[in-house]
Amino acid sequence: MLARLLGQVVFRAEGPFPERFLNACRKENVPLQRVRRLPEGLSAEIPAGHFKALRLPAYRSRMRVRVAQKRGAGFVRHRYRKRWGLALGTLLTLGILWVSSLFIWNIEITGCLQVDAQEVKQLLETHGFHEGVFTPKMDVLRIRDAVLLEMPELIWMAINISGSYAEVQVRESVPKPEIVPEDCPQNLIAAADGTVLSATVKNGNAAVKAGDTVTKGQLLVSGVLDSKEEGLRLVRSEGQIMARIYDRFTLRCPSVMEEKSFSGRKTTHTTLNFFQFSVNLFKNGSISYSDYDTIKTVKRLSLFGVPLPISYVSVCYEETLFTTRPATEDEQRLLCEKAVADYIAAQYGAAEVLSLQTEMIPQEDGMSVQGELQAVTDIARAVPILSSRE
Amino acid sequence: MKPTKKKPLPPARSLQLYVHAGRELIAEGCGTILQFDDSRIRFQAGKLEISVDGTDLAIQQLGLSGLIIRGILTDIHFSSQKE
Repeated sequence: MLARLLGQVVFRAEGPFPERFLNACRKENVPLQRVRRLPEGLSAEIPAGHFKALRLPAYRSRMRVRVAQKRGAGFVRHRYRKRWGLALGTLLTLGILWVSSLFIWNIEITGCLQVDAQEVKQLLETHGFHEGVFTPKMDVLRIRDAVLLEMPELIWMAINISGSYAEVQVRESVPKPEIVPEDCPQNLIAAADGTVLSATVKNGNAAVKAGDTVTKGQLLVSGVLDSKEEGLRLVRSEGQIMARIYDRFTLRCPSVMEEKSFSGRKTTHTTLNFFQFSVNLFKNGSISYSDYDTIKTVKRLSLFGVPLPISYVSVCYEETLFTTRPATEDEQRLLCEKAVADYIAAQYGAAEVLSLQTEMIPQEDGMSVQGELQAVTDIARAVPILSSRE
Repeated sequence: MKPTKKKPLPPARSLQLYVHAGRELIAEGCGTILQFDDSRIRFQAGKLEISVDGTDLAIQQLGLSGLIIRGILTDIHFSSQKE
């Protein structure tokens, strides 16, 4: 490999005495490689620097040496010796590549599940780690620690710099579970009228059993325990009281629909970003529309799949118009169904609906829905026991 | 070109031969090459004459200390020269 770099000559030695030629080369310490016999003599390779030393062995053995091929960096350099611009251009390119490798061109953040990667990137920027930063003088560990301290959602972070590319790996922390104070006694009372189907009590004294009918606010599980051994004591009642509930409700529904449409007028602002520098390619930055949608498109230039620190950001502002009109019959029905679903979700959460009957009644200023709901849900609601000391 | 004074061959060292899988022969301390052909390479080592037979034989490297023969080696024959 080194010989190829330094230059090598493939030659043919023609004549009747190839063995004499080889022995003469050995005597003169001429290093020959890949010597092959040919009908007219032999062919071999020799380092370019030793080629002139072949003259004496060739003379002694009466062989004629002919160059078959020249290869290696030395010959290429000699061929282009007068084209100094090529060498200068190569050196300049290598220099630019070297200098550019000292700056971060691209930052990729991986491992974000709940946390927004853009938020992490902005925080890194505030601590001096951004595209275009000079890497040799950068204290990556300090930046990492500062970001981790400011962002409690992250538990671990690693900044791996590979040339001009930086990969920021993050791991999100598991949120702290809600810690219930054990020394806060409470009762469980009914959140709605209903018939108890099952009572699962983890702590406290059950005041109802399956089959009982309860009214809203009635005590279900008492946090007051009395025993002969320990006397009267207050505990934190816990349990699940599943009950069938009945609910009659009346809801009001809007009779108009709000529609969003585009007027067709739009303005596009284009910006050219190079590292942290940006050049606006528009004159007037103000938007004359009162309501508009914003569509941002970022196009990053890349060379052979490697992202470059040059991006082309186009922000399109499209004017929107909001109009109201009376809802059609189908739309009115959809609005009422949505209102009922919202009501059940707000009142009973994840209740199992057994039956639901609704009736839409037209009103002067819209529509109302009357409904009857039968569902199974946990009706236990915790209320603290206030002792005399409090 | 005017011929210079004939240089003697380097002093013969003890011959050492290494054969690798019948494809390569390394000879250290060998002397004059007597025959070079793609089916036979014959060389001298002191009073010993060594003939390497095979097909597609080539001298991979040739130097003062020895030579490396590559090809498909079939026979290596040793014969002693009479004084």
